Amino acid sequence: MIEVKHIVKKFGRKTVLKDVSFTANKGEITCLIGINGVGKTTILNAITRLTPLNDGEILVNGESFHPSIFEKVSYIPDTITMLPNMKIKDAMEFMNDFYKSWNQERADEILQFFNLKEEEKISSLSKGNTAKVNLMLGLALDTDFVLMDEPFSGIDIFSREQIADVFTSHLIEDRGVIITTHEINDIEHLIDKAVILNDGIVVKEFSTEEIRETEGKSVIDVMREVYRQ
Amino acid sequence: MKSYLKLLNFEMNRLAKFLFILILVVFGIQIAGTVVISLGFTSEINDLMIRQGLTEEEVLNVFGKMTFQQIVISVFFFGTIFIAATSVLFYIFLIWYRDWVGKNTFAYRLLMLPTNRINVYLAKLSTILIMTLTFVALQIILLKFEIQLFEWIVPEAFREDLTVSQALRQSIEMGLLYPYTFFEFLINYGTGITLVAVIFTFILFERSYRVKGIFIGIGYGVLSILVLFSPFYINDLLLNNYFYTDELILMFIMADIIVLGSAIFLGHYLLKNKIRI
Amino acid sequence: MKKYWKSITIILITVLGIGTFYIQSYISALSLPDFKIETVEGDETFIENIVLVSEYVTDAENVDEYGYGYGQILYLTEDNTIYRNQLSLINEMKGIPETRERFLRDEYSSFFRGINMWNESIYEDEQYLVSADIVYNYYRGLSEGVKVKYLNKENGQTESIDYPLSSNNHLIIDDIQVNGDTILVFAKQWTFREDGHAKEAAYLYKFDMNTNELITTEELYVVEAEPDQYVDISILHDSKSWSPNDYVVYRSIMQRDEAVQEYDVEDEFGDGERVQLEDNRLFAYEVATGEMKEVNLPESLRDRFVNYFDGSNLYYVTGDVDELKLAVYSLKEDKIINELEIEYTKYDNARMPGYYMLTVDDGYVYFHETLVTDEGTSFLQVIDTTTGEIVYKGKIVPEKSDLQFEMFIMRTEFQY
Repeated sequence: MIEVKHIVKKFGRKTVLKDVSFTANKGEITCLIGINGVGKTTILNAITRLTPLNDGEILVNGESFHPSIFEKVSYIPDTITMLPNMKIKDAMEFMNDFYKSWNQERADEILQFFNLKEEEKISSLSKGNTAKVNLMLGLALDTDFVLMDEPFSGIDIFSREQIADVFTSHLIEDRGVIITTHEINDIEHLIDKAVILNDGIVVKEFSTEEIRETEGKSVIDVMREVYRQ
Repeated sequence: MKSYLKLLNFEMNRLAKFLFILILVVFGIQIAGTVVISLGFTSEINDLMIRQGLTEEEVLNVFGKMTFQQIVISVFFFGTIFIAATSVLFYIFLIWYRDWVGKNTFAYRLLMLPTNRINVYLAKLSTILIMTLTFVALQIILLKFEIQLFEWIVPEAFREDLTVSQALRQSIEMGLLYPYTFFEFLINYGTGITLVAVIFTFILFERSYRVKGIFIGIGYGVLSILVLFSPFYINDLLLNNYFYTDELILMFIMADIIVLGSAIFLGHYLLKNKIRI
Repeated sequence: MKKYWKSITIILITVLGIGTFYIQSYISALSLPDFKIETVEGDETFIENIVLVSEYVTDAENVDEYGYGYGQILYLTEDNTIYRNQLSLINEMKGIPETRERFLRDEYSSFFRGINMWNESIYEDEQYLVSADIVYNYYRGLSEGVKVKYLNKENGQTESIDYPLSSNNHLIIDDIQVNGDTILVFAKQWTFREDGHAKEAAYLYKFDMNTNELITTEELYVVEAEPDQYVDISILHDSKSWSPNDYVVYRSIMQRDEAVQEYDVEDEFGDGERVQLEDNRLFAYEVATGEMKEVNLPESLRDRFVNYFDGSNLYYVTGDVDELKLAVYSLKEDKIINELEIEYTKYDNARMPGYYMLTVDDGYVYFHETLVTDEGTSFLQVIDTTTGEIVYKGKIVPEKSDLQFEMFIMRTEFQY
């Protein structure tokens, strides 16, 4: 379980996260929803200590940050995390070198699934394929949690469909996923839990299944309610 | 340790191409310089002897014997040392900023490795040291060739030969790079690596706090340099040279260790807690 | 392994390149030969305290026509050879063992803290160790005071005297002497005027060790330059600059020719290049009586530079190397007390026959040739200047007899 407890983040005088708390469980897809600039990416960066917090605490499986959490949590940011002059092969070799949790079989499987060739240079890939490689690098780690930052933004429709397919495949299975998006449409049917952020706080945290059953609302319905107020 | 070595190797591989091109440039210029100056001298001698009919002795009276020093103090040598030094300085900044700036933010990957982030720092620091020492070592090897070349071109009667180690100490700048004793070598390069570590930590202040970090970093850098050289000026200005040289050197080594240690410690703290992607 | 080859190659080249460089210089340092002074005849006590500062030529091909080679500096005593590049770390920083400076620094290390161990500013006798320094204000560029520190060796007491200077001038310490309870600090003051004319003055500050206060300031000699004139007062340096002297001797020169401005004290013991000067006089201050008198040299010595001075006599080398003559002028008696031909055993087979070196101390001449090689036997001889007799004769030889070598002796120091 990833527990985000009362985190506060300021950028200069502006407080982006005033007091944010939520949890993400293994086996669930948790979606951080909010308009641009609400601090979704900041939360993912904070979990992976890529940005310092002003207050609050984040625990992964009950433990606070330690470099070894990167064997348990893999983060797929919205830019590629490898050098442009590397071939896909080199990138995989790098991962294999540094991560115990690297699973080469799974990496090959994902490459095949996306129809990518390992001899290709990262700098020569299209935007969609770059995103797929980035996804591959994160998913081929045998981690408990995967964090994804806007995996669909700026990508063509076919790539989106392919990426969406990943969520229902065994590549995710019983892992915990935290995904951020400002376009909920593509993945609404996939997510288990939604955390709606607005104005630096969690406005609503709910199970999508529950709200559908009890109140008959979709995630978008809830969002509309929140942002109209 | 293992991750440090892997990271070091990775940084070295990233450096290799840049280093290789630089070495070629330095070698090219130095060898060209050796040839140009040696040939220039020889043709002047020939001119005097053949066209003006001077004897060997008379020519020697005019020019004296040529030594390799004339090449070492020429612009060809100075130029290349300047190029090498500038590129090391440039690389000190490049080695960090290229991972943040640009389309592919490799910093994500470096900071998400399942190892202490200080290993990244140490690997980059070692890379700079190795880069510098590579130039230093290759210059020794290159000089051997160049002296040979010089001896081929300039007739024996008109030249005075220098050994590599003599040639290396023909200018003050070179003397700094190639001190007489290994102990001085360690002190010179130890101080060098400390200064690089201070710059690294300065860069990390900037990366952690951005514009504000530049000011904190400058404050930190000034403080570090003050501490590093404090034994000398405290002794000079406040203590009326109370300490003897050997004691001063010992204190300087201690100050060096303190500054290097605190640079690494602060770097570790910033990377772990304050760094921003 | 494949991905490591670049790193391994780079590191290997670096380690090998730098490693060989330092190992080579270490090995060549170790292979330097030891020398000794082997007594042929005479009293060995004469050479107990001497240190021959020399340069061992490691690469004989590279000696230029003036005899300067690329070599290793060594300190040669009766039975010890110390190469500067073989010194341990500690010795390298503390100073050369077997020298007077090092002895004092070890023996009186707390006294010498904060003191420049320059030749002029230290005095030592059986009872006292004295140092004097000028307090210099770097911001104003002026001398602000005289700082004297002395140690009474009998009771181990160290005292300090600070005397502020009111004048706005530049001052340097020339010499220190002690007479009874009085410390004599000889200083030179010089003034630059806007038109470039200079005034030089030799001052004497007398300090009382009982009260630790200044007794008097005496202006021993002043010389002022006319336009386009160059003046200089300089002190004659002696063979043991830190030991007590009977006399402190000044040379005063005046010259219009600008070339002479390059004249410096070192020339006093150089090859004795003679320059015609408008005025060239010697003044001697007698430490015991406090009297300053002009040295009334005979015609034959008047325009010559003094070759050696040992605190009481002036020594002039006359004649050339084939017929080496030494004139001894006594400052006490104000006359030449001896003129003798120096008899010495010439270095058979000398490659540079004209180059010899003398040092005079306590009435004895220490004589040796400059270049020592394996091609002949080089001698170190001590000659009594009163009798002309050779009192000591020794050979400078390598420990290993079959060695081919070349060594320049640069100067003779005394450990005393």
